[in-house]
Amino acid sequence: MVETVIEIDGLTKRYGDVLALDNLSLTVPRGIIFGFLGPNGAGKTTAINLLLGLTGPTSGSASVLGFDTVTESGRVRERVGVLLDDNGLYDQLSAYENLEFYTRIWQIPQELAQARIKDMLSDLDLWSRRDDRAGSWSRGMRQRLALARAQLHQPELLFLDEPTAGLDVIAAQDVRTRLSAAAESGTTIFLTTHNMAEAEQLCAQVAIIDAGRLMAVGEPSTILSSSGYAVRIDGHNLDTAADAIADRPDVLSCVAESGQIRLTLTEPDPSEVVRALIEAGASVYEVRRGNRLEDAFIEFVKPGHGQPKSESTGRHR
Amino acid sequence: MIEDVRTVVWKEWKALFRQPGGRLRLLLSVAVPIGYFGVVGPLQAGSEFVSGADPWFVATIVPLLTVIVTSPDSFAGERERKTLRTLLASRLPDSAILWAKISFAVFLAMGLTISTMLLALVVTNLFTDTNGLAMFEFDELIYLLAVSFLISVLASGVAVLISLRAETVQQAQMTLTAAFFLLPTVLGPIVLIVFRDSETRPIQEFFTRLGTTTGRVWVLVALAAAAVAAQTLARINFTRSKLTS
Repeated sequence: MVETVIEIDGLTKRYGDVLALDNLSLTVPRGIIFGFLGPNGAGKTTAINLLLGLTGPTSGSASVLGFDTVTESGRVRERVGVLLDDNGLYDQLSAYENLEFYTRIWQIPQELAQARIKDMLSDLDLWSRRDDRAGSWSRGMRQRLALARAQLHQPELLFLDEPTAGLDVIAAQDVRTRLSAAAESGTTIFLTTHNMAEAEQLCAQVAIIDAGRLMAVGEPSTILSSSGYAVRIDGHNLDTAADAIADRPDVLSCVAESGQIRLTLTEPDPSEVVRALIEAGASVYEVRRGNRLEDAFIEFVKPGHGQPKSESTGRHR
Repeated sequence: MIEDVRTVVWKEWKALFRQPGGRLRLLLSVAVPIGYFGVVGPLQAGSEFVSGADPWFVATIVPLLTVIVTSPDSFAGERERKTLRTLLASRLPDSAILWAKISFAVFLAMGLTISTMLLALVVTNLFTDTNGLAMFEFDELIYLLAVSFLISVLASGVAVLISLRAETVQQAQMTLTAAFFLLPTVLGPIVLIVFRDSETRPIQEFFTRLGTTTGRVWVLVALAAAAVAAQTLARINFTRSKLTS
């Protein structure tokens, strides 16, 4: 039996008239990277605040590592590490002091703390710059330092809110490598991100939320198939021919733009649709199959997308 | 709990001198009152300094100034620098964070008050004509320090309360300055102008009575009650959900 580290049951949060989170229910098993995806304002940060006990729900409940997030929020915070959307570093303190402050908070014995800080900064190739003010470092260096800070006390569960946002490609890849390593060593990671390629690369399971509602949850491959099969077709006269196929029952969506059609189909084989395009007068140069999580994400959060799904098994138009 | 308070105080101490312009701001804010009350005052008053009104200015104004300079940063500064949410997401209990911020301000205020008094004593004895060693009477000194301590606790409670609600450090500082200095300096003269001498006499007599032993006890009790009320209000207003919303 898979052990659950996060269990959310009907969690709802309302700020005045604004429904930030609407009846969210999901579970996160131990030892995986769980992607929590959604557009800006979807409710991701609210969900993290609720799970950390930084705010209380309007209704519903959640437990983290077996502790209720309302009545035992202190015990939750004792056992998790966080890297929130703002890295939370004290820019005026040195890198070493930033880590030292949190080793004191986590009550790590002094000798062990010193050794751990040295290991972590050395691993980041930043030991020689330990006395620099954290504020003088690049965003990528600060983000890696903040990630190290979140792992100082070797928590079972990490909450990471957009850890690679605003980083250059190399720094972002370095952070991803470190996340993979942390997951391999048994740490569960609850990761929010806008980067779908990153979610696809890292996450064993993902949930997609929009306007506070859960739209889909499951393994990325399940999400991809539930959102239909994406096909990109390059060619000539596609715009005109697109009208001829848009109403076909096996076409979930059809977007023609700049000599290309992006289709979402109900079946994995696009040959029938391609034939229909050619019959409608289009010239087809290239057909590329293969779903990307980004396509599925866009499908789920696009305006007019209807019903929330507790499990991603249904098709949608 | 005490270890947690010490941890946050450790961070506050480190950060105090490292903020942009922090050293200069601190020096200017603290050096002026210390210089005035610790050097200029004793030089002007001579041996009378220890028995006059000057020590009362030290005991009241130095803590207030110190709190105005340091306490607005306690929560508004964390919020402004975007470090507050991460701190709140740590294992530190609410009470440890709050008491650490308040203790730090009280610690600094008392440290500077005592330093100013010591400096004043040194200046009085070294640079003015005194018959023997000029020294505060023991009872008077204890009373001064007790009043100073209670004012520090009261002021830091009010300051933290304001800092909890303020969006920025500057906003908190302006509110505090208005509360501690502008209101009394504006209201005092207005009372004297508006009311006739006969009407203000009871007030004057009230302040005269504060010099007696009973009066002093009442001062300490009133200050302690106000300090406890301010701390309680700060505690009630310190909720993670309010601070993270």
